[in-house]
Amino acid sequence: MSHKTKRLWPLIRHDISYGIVLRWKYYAAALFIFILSSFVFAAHANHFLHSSGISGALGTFDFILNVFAGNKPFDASSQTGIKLSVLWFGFYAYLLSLTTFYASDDMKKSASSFILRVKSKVVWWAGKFIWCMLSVILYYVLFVLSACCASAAFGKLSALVNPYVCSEFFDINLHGASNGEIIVACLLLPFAVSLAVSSFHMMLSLVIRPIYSFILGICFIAAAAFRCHPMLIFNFTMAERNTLFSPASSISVKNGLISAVCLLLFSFFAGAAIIKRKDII
Amino acid sequence: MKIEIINYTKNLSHNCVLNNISLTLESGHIYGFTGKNGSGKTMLMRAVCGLITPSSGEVKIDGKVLGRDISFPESVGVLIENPGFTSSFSGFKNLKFLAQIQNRINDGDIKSAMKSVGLDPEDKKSFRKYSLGMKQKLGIAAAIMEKPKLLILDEPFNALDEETVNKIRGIVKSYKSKDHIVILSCHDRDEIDSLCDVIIEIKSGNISNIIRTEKDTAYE
Repeated sequence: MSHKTKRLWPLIRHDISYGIVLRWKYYAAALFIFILSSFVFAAHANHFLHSSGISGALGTFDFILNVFAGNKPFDASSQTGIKLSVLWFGFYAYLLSLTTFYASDDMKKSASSFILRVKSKVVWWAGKFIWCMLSVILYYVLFVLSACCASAAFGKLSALVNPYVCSEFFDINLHGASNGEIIVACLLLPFAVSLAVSSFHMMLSLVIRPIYSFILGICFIAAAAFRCHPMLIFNFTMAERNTLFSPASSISVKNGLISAVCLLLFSFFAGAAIIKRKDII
Repeated sequence: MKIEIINYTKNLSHNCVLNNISLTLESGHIYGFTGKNGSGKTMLMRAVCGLITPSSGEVKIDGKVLGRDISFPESVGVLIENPGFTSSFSGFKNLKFLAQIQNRINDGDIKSAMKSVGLDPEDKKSFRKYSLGMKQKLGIAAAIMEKPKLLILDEPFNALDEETVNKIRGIVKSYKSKDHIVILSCHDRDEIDSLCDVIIEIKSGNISNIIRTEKDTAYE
């Protein structure tokens, strides 16, 4: 292991301490919102099941889909108006607010002390990149944990999806999709996209002001809500638009994963190239 | 150790902050940068430690070009403007965090550096509760703890009491005897005159004057 790689670990420790542990309140707030939204959804869904006389309970993925279902593409010809899933929008907007600002903030505060000791700006950037991955992982762990707790409290602790709830609340027809396919399309794909967009906007915050990078991220989320196009990567985070549940759609798991991996790699290498030339002032 | 700054120019947002600067710094000397606020002292310090890239020109350290042959000086301790530390950690823990990156020094060295600037290494007080002077002392301790061959101190005497100023003077002088290079900037001209061998006056990004004091025996 080279000296520079060895020096990465203290940087990661610094980022975990400074960027996650000391900012625990932001993650606690996210957990609180996840639990609250699960409570509200459970009340509505259980009321629907009882009033319809349908047997069956809510599973973990019903709570996950409550956020990741997203909404159908905006149809200008219909009279239904604009529909936006507030939970889906809020989930990603909050995630971007957690990950976009840290790198540039830390650069102003302590980058010179760390970079001069590590002797490499790229290693410093690698530390920030890993921090970003860890931050997204923690965010998803909290989300899945809240979904598991909610399904244990209001349904049964099972990964199964209730097809009636899916059809009524999410406009999703399971089409006999397997559990594995549902997990990939409704959890792993949004997770992969989250890793990619978080790192992309963190990289962008090195070039433009972090607040502009964040606003741009919000614009991308909003654009995806109203325009169903594979180039708008947030489309891959909406299960209602996935080819698994809407065969006519162009939003496939394969394309989503390829886009996410490409964006992730681009963000890392572009960030490394930018930081090499960037003045630490 | 020899640092050569060759025709160094730095433009920031269409402003020329360093203009075609050429300067040679050698071991066994204490160099003092003086000039008004915004004259380019701190920027020149950043240039020497490789934190900024030149618009033109280069910095050589022992013949190796910064940014091409080496990314940063091999052994450098820096205090530039407000040192950034983790607010919830104690002074010792903050320094230990930094020291672990290079892993060259042990806890004893860290404690010794803290004591030399008048800080108690056993003090559990978090950095956020530190006074301005204590923060400055910790920044100096961070710069000197790894005994770097190149020590860069930007306004090190800010917010310090007289007793600590004397301690820092002693530390700076000890670096000269160890055949290291010290670069410091200070608004107090008397302080610069009393400590430095070579005084470099900077005005609007240019070196306006270089004064070799009587202490600079190496030049005689």
